[in-house]
Amino acid sequence: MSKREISGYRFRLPDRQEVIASLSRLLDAKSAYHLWSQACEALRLPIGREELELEELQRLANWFMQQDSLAKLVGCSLNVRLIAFSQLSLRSEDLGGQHE
Amino acid sequence: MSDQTRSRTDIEREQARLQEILDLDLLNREWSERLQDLVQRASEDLKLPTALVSLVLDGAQYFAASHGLGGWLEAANGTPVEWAFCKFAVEDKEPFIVQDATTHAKVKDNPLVKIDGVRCYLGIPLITSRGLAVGTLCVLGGEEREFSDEDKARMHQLAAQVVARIEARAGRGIIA
Repeated sequence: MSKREISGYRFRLPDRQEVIASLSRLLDAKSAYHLWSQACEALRLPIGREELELEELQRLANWFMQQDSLAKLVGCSLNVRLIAFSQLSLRSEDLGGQHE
Repeated sequence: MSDQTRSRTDIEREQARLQEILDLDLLNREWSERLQDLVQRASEDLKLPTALVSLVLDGAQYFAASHGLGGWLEAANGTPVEWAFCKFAVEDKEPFIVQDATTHAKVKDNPLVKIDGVRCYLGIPLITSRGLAVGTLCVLGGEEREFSDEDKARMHQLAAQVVARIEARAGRGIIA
């Protein structure tokens, strides 16, 4: 298991496809990809990389939250998920390694 | 109605519901203070440690206001949506009631139950004047609990006050 997962909670960091899928559920697919490209360009992130680091995902979440559309909700959701992941990772380590 | 049409209708309905959350500016952090008295009253009146106004988003539930939270839930100010008890109340537009989460088919395997010890829950959907359920007013605790008719009635009253206050802020009604 990678450090992108917390086994006890069956919870993992989202990858690029999952974030774009979240955008696509609220916007149309074309707009979702356009927004993803815009975000990556603004944040100087590689558009095509599948696995993004926690810190990169947090910057993306904050960027989406600045948008004046349903993408703001994707940003808020992503932000909650990332903080939960970060907090539960720490707790799992405290509990002796549910998270490896 | 074909599956495809129904699916498109479901998507449009969900988009309208989420747009309502934006239109009402419910992600504004000021709601925490504006609704604090109502979540506190829910906790006190129901004699349970935790009460929330939870907004059900696409990927998470987000706590617009809370009383009695601690640990990682307080830090995250929400949970992944797949763990949200509140989504059942929002989907059905009906109260969702859990007397004992460890035996309830919908939530017994939920990490909030298995790891974090949530045992009882009562959530009332927050349905706006446009007929859209944006979230819930809910209470939860760590002990089994049978909710009385009085408990449910009180939560309905408080949920109505939450909706009235939210809509008044958007210029749709009178301040509760």
